[in-house]
Amino acid sequence: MIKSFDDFLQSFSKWGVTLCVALMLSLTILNIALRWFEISILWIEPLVRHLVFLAAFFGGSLATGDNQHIKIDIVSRFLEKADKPLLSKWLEVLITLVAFTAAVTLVVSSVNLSLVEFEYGKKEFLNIHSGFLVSIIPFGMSLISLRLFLRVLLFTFKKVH
Amino acid sequence: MELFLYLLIIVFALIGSPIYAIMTLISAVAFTFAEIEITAIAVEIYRMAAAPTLLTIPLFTFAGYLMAESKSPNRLLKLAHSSLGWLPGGVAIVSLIICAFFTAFTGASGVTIIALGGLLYPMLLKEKYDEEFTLGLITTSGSLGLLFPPSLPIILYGIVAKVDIDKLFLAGIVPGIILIVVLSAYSVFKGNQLKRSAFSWGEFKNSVYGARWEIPLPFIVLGGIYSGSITPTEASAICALYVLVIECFLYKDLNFFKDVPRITKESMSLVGAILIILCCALGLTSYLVDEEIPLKILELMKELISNKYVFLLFLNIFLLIVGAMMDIFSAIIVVVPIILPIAEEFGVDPIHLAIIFLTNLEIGYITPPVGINLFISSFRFNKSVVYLYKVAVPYLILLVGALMLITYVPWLSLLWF
Repeated sequence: MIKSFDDFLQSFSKWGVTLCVALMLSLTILNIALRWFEISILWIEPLVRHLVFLAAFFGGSLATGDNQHIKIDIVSRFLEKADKPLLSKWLEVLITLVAFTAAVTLVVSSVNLSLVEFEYGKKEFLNIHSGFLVSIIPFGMSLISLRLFLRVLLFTFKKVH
Repeated sequence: MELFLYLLIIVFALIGSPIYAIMTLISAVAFTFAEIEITAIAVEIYRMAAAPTLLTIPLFTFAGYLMAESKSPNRLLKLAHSSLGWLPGGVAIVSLIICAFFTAFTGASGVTIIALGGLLYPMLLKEKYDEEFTLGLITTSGSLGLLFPPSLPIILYGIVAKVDIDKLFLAGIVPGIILIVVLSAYSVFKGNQLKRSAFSWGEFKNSVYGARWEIPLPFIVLGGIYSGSITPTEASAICALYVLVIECFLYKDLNFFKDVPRITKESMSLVGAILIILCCALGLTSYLVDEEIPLKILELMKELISNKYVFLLFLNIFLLIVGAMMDIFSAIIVVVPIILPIAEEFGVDPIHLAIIFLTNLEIGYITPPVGINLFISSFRFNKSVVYLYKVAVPYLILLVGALMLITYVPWLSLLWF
């Protein structure tokens, strides 16, 4: 069940990022094309920047699922070569717990910011309240935190031969 | 207590925790002990959404991945082979040029060695180049195009250091060519005794026709930016759309519905990993600046180093170590904010500094013990890492020689300005 839920989140992130890329690409091309007719739509540029921001978190979630986050992996490589599967497993659990702690710290930090922004922020492009724009961070970090939590469970219950 | 926590975080980094987690934990500890609310980290992260050139990162990476997954490497290899294969060391030079082209688009993320290595390795061995030379060449080529536009590390450097990306694109061209020329000269030396293929007009014409849609790409991107008709951000969108159209609908190498979502996922996974580090590092950078850490390092350095040239020498040694130990994207995000004010104080031009920085990190990719290209090649070609350390040595020596030239002749980077 944990694996199925993680697969669902992987799929959700994949289609989320695909939609973001499709939108950022088509909107930027539209903006260039409209310039030839001396028409400019002011909300396109900030919207695209926020789409990149959202895509970064979806991409971060995908990198979490594929275990592709950038790291200094000398120890894990050494353990792989030394053929110590049990040690590798628990090291993986520890690493994922460290990443989970950091991600939760960011969720807390960004939820606080969003609450402040909802209270004191203002309407931005397309009449979107800045609180919603800032909420991209807690949304993205919660997604990553959830995936890290599931990975901790998956690694913990993984059988090692 | 504070020191203990920092040491613990360093241990977490060394055992392989993701860099973004390390940055976040360091920022959280630093802010907590400075009695600043950790909300400050999120404030800094949100600043990234205001970076106007941010879009270039996902779109150029997407375009690079599309090309790497199509038959584009094959077509470009045929083109380069038919045009340069007749030279002594021609096939090796062709390999260098094609790898540089691909790395410029894929950002030296290992894609070049994985995608092109399988084509180049048998081709070079068939031409009777020895295995050590071949493996060394492919391993080195995996990061060779980093100084050419629209390379991802250049864009990231521009964003972090707040330097014009179009100026950086120009500045990297001559130093990038120097690196290729140095390695080409070595290839000529090694390939001089080997049998060469004769130049064939027919083969050349066929290969030009084969790559007819890829040939205009650098001209569209660079021509557009430097003619002033499009910004680098718009160039990234045009480049991505162009590559998407040619690979899916003109060459039909990729299926729009089957392959494009998969490639989008793969490329955005890399982009996500980079941008998350960038986000998390912004909090740490802001803390370092507030605490005047670069200034404190500068004061210390001024006591030890009095001269710009000695500073550059130390900078190169430091950056080579950084390049061998850290991934290029993390290194740019973490190290640039610290060295930028110090280098300015010693009179180093920010654009020249960018090129020195990126050249060092490019070399760092093949510097033992942990240069990432060495591990990628070890995995790709099933050779021991120690063997790859050995084959990389001649290339390392040559590239360090070129680095000295780039460092001590600033004109090579600044001739356009």
